[in-house]
Amino acid sequence: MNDSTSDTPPLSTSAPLLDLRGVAKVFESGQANVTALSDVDLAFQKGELIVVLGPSGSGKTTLLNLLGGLDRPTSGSIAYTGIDIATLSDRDLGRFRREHIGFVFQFFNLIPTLTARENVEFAAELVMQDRHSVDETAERLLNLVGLSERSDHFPSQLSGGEQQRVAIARALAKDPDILLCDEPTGNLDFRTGQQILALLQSLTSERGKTCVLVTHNSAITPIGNRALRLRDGRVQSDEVNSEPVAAADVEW
Amino acid sequence: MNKKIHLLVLRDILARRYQFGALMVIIGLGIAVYVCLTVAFENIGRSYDRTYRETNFADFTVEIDSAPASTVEEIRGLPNVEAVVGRQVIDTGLVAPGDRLVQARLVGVPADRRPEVNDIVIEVGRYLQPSDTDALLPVLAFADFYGLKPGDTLQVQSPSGLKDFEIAGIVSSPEYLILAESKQDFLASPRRFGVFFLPETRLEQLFGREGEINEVGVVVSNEAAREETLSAVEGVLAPYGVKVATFSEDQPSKAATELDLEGGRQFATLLPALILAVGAFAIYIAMSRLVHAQRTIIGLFRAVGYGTVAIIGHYLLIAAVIAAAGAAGGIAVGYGLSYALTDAYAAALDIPLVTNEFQAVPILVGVLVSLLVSLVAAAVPAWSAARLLPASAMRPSPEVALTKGYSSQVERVFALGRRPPMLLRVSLRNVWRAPRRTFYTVGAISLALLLLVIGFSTFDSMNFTIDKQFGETDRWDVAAAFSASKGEDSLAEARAIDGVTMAEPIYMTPATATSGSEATNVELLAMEPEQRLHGFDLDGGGDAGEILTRGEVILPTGVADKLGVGRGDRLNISTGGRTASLEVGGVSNEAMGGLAYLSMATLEGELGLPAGFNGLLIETASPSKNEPVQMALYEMAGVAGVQIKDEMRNDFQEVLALFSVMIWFVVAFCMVMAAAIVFNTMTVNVLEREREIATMRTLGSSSWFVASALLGESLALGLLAVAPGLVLGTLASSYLMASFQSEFFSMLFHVSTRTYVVVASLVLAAILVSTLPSIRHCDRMNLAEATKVLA
Ligand SMILES: Nc1ncnc2c1ncn2[C@@H]1O[C@H](COP(=O)(O)OP(=O)(O)O)[C@@H](O)[C@H]1O
Ligand SMILES: [Mg+2]
Repeated sequence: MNDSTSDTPPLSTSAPLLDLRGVAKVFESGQANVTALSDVDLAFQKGELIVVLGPSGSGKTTLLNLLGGLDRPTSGSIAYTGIDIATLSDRDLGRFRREHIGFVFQFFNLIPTLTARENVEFAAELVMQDRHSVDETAERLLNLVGLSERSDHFPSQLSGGEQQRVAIARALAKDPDILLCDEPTGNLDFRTGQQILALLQSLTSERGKTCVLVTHNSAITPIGNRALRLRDGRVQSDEVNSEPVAAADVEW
Repeated sequence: MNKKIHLLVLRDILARRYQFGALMVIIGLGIAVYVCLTVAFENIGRSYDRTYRETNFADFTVEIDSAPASTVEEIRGLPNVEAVVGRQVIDTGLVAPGDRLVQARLVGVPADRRPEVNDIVIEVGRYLQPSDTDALLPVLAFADFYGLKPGDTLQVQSPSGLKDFEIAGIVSSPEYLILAESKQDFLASPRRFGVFFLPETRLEQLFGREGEINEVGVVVSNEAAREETLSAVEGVLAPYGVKVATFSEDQPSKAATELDLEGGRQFATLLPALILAVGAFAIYIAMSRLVHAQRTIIGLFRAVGYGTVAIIGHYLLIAAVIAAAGAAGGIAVGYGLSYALTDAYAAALDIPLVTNEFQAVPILVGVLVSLLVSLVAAAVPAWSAARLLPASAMRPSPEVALTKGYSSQVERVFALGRRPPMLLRVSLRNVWRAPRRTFYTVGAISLALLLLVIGFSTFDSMNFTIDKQFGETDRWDVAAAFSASKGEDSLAEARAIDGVTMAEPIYMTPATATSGSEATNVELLAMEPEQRLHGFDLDGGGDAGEILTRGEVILPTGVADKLGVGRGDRLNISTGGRTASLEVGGVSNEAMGGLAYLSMATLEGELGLPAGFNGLLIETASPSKNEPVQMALYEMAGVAGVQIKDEMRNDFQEVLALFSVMIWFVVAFCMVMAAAIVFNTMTVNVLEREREIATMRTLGSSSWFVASALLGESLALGLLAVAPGLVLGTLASSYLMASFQSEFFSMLFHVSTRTYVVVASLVLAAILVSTLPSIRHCDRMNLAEATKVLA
């Protein structure tokens, strides 16, 4: 199943994982309506690492929220493996999030009363019944993000980078197909940011996850195999990068 | 520069209008209850005083066997005597509508003028006229109960049979504001007891006591010297057999009204104090939250140069606005309601001369107390705001850590030693994460529980007391009192009545009991040591029969406490001019006080009273025999009154039913309060945790999980409060109950298990319901918004 480890990004050869058709999002705030997204037609494939760029207010977060089922488009359709998630009930949307989506936030959003391990277990328990696999998953993922040593620490005892790594481990605990990361390095120093990006890169190339990485930092662009630029809620450009650069080699 | 920051006060309040509105309501409620009860009870107290003053209520009364009416003029000549009245007071039977025989107290008054002392107030109809012979004036409570009006006729039992009397008017008497027959029976119902004022000449003639008096009432000019005056009066009356002297504060009705007022005043302080304590908790929680939410703004103000005083002033001003609004509303509502309460109370108790004067003090106290409570509650949050350093204030708020003091052992206990489920961990840790808030919330819930325990345990104690008094202490079914001493033949006559299974003679006479500097009026109750119809419950055990045989006295708890004596102590008992020093052989736990028990032999031997009896305790074959036995007893010569125990019990329960309305009010109120405080805390908690709750939902947690975690947290808060609330409630209640104890009535404290279960369930239910708005808020949360919120 590891058919996406090649250098070339999978193009529209197979059916897309996510397919957006004519998506628009309008926020109604009083008299003035804000059009956050309009005329968005996009298709994302399995194993892609898509870097989404654009100035503040261009609609990046809105796009992520729609992809993750946190919000519904004003018009258009968003199909996940052929199913339009825009039409799902709240309950089914919740299940969609639970089973297929992993979120990584700019401000980590760890649950402050739970330890690193418990934060990961929290997510794992949502999809697994048996105690043993929950334990095993948490152990393995904390190991993957290099935090086995700190697993019994509370978020407030961890640095920003460590917290973000826990957040990624938590996002992976449900083994989602899609990782949605909103400025995951925005609050981190350069070196820590690099580590996080390397982690995301390996997840797409080695584990076949699809990762949408939002940033306003264009220096990051080369690590992805696709770059999407937004401006005023429209897709300005959508470029394939056939030779992604290792995260360790980018600088900003 | 300071002006601008104060403008923000209004904005801060408007932005949180529901939360602050709720705080104003709590404070306002406390102040309203305080003002209403304080003003009303002050007015009621003044109304009593006015009634006593305008009717020339006796400073002391002396009961005697019989004296010539001329002694009154002799007493008038004594120094310090301002006014004096001598009269006949006779207890007998009277036929009330429906052919019911009731106990009647007949009081002689002059027909040509008003009594100089212990005057009466005419409520309906008119006072007596010299031309009246067979006219009488019943007291309002009795007339109301039987629907009597002027012109109606009542039949008075006299030595020469039933005599018709026509009602000329209906009156109130300062001696019977509460229809207390005696200190032992201060809750007499008009169903079986009434007081009637008759032309004195007719009364004397009817009972063959022309030119005699058996009671003297005196008003003194200088109250400080009343003891000497009493001695002088007793000196004049000594040859005529002084039975007992009573100062105005010991007069049964006046003592009962005082006790009632005292209870009211306690309630008027306790209830608002508890409400305001809860209000303080709520203000503290809300203000802490406000400071927390505004830390960046505070940092900004600090950075541009606002000083500590300005920042503290800002938050204290918000608290002051809450206090002012609460006090204004509370005073307006409370004062308005006080008129209604005074009138309702005065009407219920038939207080004839009502005073409703403007009172500034409770208003002033209300304003000051609400300010004090709010400012004290806001002081800590305000101070912590002022201490924030600009740099740290402007950083996003640090997440609450759980590193210090938290023990996951607690979770294991709750999880019964197994690995605690995530839901349990989330709930319990949330309780721990803001310990101070948890502490205050738990404190406030405990107070609600405390109030509820007081309310329900009052029911328990009342029922317990009634059961004890009428079940275990009074084992007779019917009791008869005679106006003169009777002998063996009368006892045989009573025993022969159909339906009487047992009849035991007693002798009752008023006396003064003294121990050291403490003195109190008691009714001596002499009985045969082997009697069975009075049940003693002696402190530390012992056999009542043996104690009485030894010539010792048994005191009810109330009297023993009043005199400060216990088993083995001696006390002096004086009656009819003789004094005996007797040993206290035992203290009996019984509700009714004002008594002292001894044997007939002791009464005769030590105090020189004649042999014979003037009362009978009777056991009947069945409750259906009670009324026929009562009728038959009234046929006996010299019977002054016959009581049926079941009727007394019903009277008691009726009075207590009125009281229970007040308790239900407290119960409802407490539940609202517990719900309000938890609503406040949970709202603040959820607002503060929007981001992490949204994160859980984003990860895919169900609404059910989030709801359960919130309910679990509320439940944990409630459970933490249950133990202290129930324990403190029990202590507070037993304290209050003890303070209601007087020498003539002791409420026996009792809390049933059912009370604990009901109280805890009610509060937990209120708490869970008040969590629902927070759950709904989480359910409707915009996840996209909430997950990106900065701190
Ligand atoms: N809930 C909302 N209500 C109104 N306008 C919104 C809302 N969320 C986002 N917007 C607007 O939509 C536009 C896109 O926002 P966003 O997707 O957050 O941009 P970005 O993440 O690229 O900075 C902005 O103009 C923003 O103001
Ligand atoms: Mg954004």
